[in-house]
Formats: sequence, C-alpha cells, structure tokens
Amino acid sequence: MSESNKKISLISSEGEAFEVSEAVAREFEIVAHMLEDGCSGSSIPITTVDSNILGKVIEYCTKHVEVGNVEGNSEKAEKDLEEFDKRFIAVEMNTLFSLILAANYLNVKGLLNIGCQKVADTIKDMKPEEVRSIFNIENDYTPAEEEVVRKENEWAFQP
Amino acid sequence: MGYDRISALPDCLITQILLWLPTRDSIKTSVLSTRWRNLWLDVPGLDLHSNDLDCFSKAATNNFGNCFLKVNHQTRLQKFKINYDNYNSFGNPSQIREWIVTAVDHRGIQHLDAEDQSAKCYICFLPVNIYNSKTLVSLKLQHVVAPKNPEYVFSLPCLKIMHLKKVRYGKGGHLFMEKLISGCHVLEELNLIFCLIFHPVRSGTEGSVKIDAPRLKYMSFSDMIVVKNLNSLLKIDIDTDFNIKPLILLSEPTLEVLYHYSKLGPFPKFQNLSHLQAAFSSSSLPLLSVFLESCSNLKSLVLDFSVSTEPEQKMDLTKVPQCLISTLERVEINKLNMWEGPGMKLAT
Repeated sequence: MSESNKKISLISSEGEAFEVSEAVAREFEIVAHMLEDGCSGSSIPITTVDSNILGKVIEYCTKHVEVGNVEGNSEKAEKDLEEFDKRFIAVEMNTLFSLILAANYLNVKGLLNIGCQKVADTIKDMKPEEVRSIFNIENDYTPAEEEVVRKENEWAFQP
Repeated sequence: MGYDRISALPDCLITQILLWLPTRDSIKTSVLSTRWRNLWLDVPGLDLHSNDLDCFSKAATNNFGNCFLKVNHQTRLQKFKINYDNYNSFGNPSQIREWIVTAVDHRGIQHLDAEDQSAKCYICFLPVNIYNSKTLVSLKLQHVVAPKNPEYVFSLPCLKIMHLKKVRYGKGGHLFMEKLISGCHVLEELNLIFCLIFHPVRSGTEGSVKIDAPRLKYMSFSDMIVVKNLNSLLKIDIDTDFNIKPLILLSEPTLEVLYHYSKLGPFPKFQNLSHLQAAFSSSSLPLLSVFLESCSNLKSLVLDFSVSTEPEQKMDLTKVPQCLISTLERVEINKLNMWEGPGMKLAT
C-alpha cells in the first residue's frame, strides 16, 4: 500500500472522528510535523477545533489536494480552485473567525490567507464607525483621546 | 451587542489581516479602540499610493515612514508595494527612496512591487540596492528607469518571480537585462513586457536579450529575446501580435530574432514544455514548425492565429515535428483573424 493511501483519523474537540487520507492530513502542517516526528498513531486529536469547523477545514484541504494531483496545472483548474476558495470563504462572520483560528492552529497557510483576506475586504473602504459596528468593537477611547490618535496620522483619514 | 471576535484574535493574526489592506486603511484602524492603537505599526508590510502622501506635509509623511520602519525594526518586512498615478504627486521621492533602502538593507524585504495606474511617466527614485537584495523573492516593476551604470553587479540569490513592464534604460539596455537575469540563479517565473521598445534593433540577434535561466518554469515576453538555457520550462506565453498599431512592427523582429537564431545553431530544446500559447501570423509559419520541433513533449498548443497580408511562406513539412505524432493531445486555434480574402483553409 502506498503512503498516500494510508488513512488517518482526526478527532475533533467533541471526540468525533474524521477519516482522511494521509495526503489530506499532511495539508495540516501541524499534523505533517507530527508524522515526521515519528508519531505513528493513526488517530490524531485536534482538541481545539470543533466538528463543524474541522469538517470545513478538511473539505478545503481535500479540494486542494485533489486539484494538486491533476497533472499539468491548467489555467482552468486554477480558476476552478479560485472559484472554490471564493465560495468556501463566503461564510458568516462567526464561522470566518473560527476558520481563521483553526487554520492558524493547524497551520493551513492557504486557508489562513483567504480568511484574513476576506476580513480585510470587509474592513476596506469602511469608516471606523462602520467597522466598529460590523465587528461589535466597543470604542473605549474618550473623545479627546480619539482626536489625538486621529491627529497623529491625519493624512490617512482625509477623504 | 454581539461578541467582538476580531479584537480577541492574537496580535499576529490581526496584523496578518491588516497586511491585506492598503497602509492607509490599516492606519485608520488605530481609532477603533485602545486595543487597536498601535497594531498597524506591527504589520509586516507597506502598501502605499502616491495620492496618500501628496496632500500632506513633508514632516508628517517623514514622521509616518520613519515611525513605521523604526517600530517594526525587529520583524522582517514581507512586502512593500507602491502604487503611483503620477511621479510628481510623490511630494518627496528621496524620502521614499530612503524607505526602500531601509527595507532592503535592514528589514529583509521579500516582495517589492512598484506599479502604475495610468502610466503617464517614469519613476526614477528606486535605489539600485534592490538589484542586490539577499532576501527579495518577488520583484515587480513597472515604468521605472533602470540604473545607468553598466558596471553594476546584479545578485538576487532568492528571487523566484520577476515581472518587468516598460522598464526604461538607455543604450545597451539588453546588457542590463541579461546581467539582471543571470544574477537570479533560482528564477522560476519571468514576465517581460515592452522592456526594449526604446532601443529596438532591427535585425539580427544583436541588441536582443539572451536569457540564461536554468530553473525557469514560467515565462512570458513580448520583447526580442534569445533563449539559451531553459531546461526547466513548463509553460510559455509568447505574444508577438499586440493589436496596438505602433507595436506590431516589433512583433516581427521578435519572430525574426527567434528564426534567425534557429538558423545560426541548434534551437534550444524545451523538453519539459507541455503547454504553449502563441500568437502567430501566417507569414511566420516556418518559425512555428521550428518551434514545435524543439518541444518534444508538448501536450497542448493554443494558437492565436492571424492571416497576414504579407506573402505567405510555405511551411516545410517534410520533417514533421515529433510532438505532433507522439505527445500532442489538444490544439486550439483562437482569434482566427483574416485580414484579406476568404481563401483560408485549415488542414486537419
């Protein structure tokens, strides 16, 4: 049996097991390092990620492994993957932050990048007041303090 | 009020998010709350627009840049991007030059990207030390003026991606380009667009750029080049038909140079090349055949083919290119432009 056919179980914080191929599991850099360090067990606990999010991260990695395996990275495949990423990351804010934290913990760089980019796209071109309301950020500056901060880099706040 | 999840992220994740924003938007987050006061200063990159700095006083921009580069001095700068509409709108180019020098010499910058929006003028504030960076991985320059000193030594040991568009240099510019490319030992992707338009040479290979890049995987160009050592090439885009009138003249020299080169000695072999997209006109058919012969493992061929008004040259098919028989799986012919007459026939 070749390496890539080996199955590995990833266990979510609720104790649910997700069986994936080793190639998909290796997309989680944290898992890849464990395997390289001689961790031979076929089930790996991912204690900080719940089933819902773990399932999504596995979906993302599976798709990227599939496309990576197709010979000759054609432009169409690249476009499909871009479309997939776009749809995949179009989730509500709570899920988005959970995905970012999971991608950071599991060290899935591609997912971390599209997650961060998605948040940045939301912030871009918004007024600070709008950003606060979208993300529920409480303004703990006094008006005088806020004015000082604005003055420091006034040019950035010019319309 | 819901839970504020973004402020609860660790600093390193917030700065990763801010890295995707133009620096101006990143600075604006400083007023969100005290948590956000100084986070923008830890973002490992700068993304500036010429309009950002023109409206404000020198003192204020100096303060901003120096403050940013000083606070950040421990971490590596991942990217430095400058967008410019207008050279003059950079109130103080020497200041930006200094920032770039700092970024290259002290902050281990990895990606430098200087691009223009409207392409009205050339910028010349880029310091020459970018061509000697030990850390740059990608370099994208548009509308910049190349260094004049021909003795300059180029060395970019980590550079994998280089895009040069409308880079201006004086006489002997091809030498600049050659030295630059041969100073990038691990270059994998090269994109040259309109880099030689100011000093085109009309015939022969003199004045064309000789490319020697053994690890190159992706290349696209629209200039006169001569390829020498491209064993790793996987994909190539050749555009010799720009549909922009004054430049059509240049498409022919490029082809001529390639054709000329094929007569002078063995044409380079592109053994790894599996996809080829090229614009060819009917008058350059002989070149196509030469080209195909050197691509022994070609799998897909996309031609933007046009029938030119110039006398058609017969394609010598006594020697059928090997790839046509063995490996070629797909041929696509786009944009079948016919300039004159309906007499076009396609062989099957």
